[in-house]
Amino acid sequence: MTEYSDSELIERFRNPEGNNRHYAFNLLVRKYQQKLYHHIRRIVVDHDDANDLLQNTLIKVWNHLDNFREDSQLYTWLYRVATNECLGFLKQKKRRFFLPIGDVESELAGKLIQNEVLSADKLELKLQQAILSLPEKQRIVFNLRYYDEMKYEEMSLVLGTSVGALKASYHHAAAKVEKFIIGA
Amino acid sequence: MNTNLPSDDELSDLKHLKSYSKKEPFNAPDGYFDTLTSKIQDRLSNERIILSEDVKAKRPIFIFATILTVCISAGIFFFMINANKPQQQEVACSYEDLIESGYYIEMDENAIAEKLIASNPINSKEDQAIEDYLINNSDESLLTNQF
Repeated sequence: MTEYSDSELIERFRNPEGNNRHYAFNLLVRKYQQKLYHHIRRIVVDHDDANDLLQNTLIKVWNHLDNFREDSQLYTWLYRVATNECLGFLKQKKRRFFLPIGDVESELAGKLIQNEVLSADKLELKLQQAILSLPEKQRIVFNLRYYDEMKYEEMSLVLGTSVGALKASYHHAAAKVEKFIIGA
Repeated sequence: MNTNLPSDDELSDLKHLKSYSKKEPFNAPDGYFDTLTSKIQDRLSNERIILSEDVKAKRPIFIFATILTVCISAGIFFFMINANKPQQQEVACSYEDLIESGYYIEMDENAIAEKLIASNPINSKEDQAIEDYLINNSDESLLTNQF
């Protein structure tokens, strides 16, 4: 299959002729579905929640891609939509069940243990538990840097935070994770 | 995405974290990504149908709400017009118009005073005695200072 650039995909999506819109969107989904899925899954842990949030993210992308100004990269915009969707989901969860932040995190930690693949790999499970012990935003910063290897400048566009603050946040997070691993 | 990032340098003093292999911690179920595009397309077409049905279902409500809004707006508009009308008439009427209409009669104050004196003359003996007493027994300068 021909790999189109982001701007080509957007151009095809915006072209009203024929079935271009659906075709271009399918290509866009195929190009980014795995990255977005893993980004979302690392935040919400559960596959069903990740599936719902990924679908909601992509529906929002479909609805708003016409208005996307290409002054930022498509993939940072996609990550921003997905991140906002996840943060909204976690916020709603806390509000709906009147749960303090710690309870949501312990619920997510419980889901980690239920995960068969993770529970078989003790080292990996420990790392995930360490990451889950981080505050919500710090956890997202850590994941974006550690797993997605995203540049701080791009991360700044995703999270709307300054590069300096993100660097500090990542270093604090990494130190906490290290401490957790040693201590656990 | 840039893969030549200094993440190893950043983690140089974090021995334990560095020792981990960076693999995705979670896996999607088999075949999940093969079917995602069709699921999204299904949802998009369902949302379009739901949206159009929703609009159809809400159409009578929209019409009723529009009519109600128009009626209330018209009522307020006419009420405001009527509330302003008397003020405008007062301003528009001149004295001549009022006199002509018979609601306003211009009177001379002197004529009213003369009429009152004529209808109530100081003719009783008691009144005359009081008047005479006051004229004869009061100091004029004191009266002037008093009043």
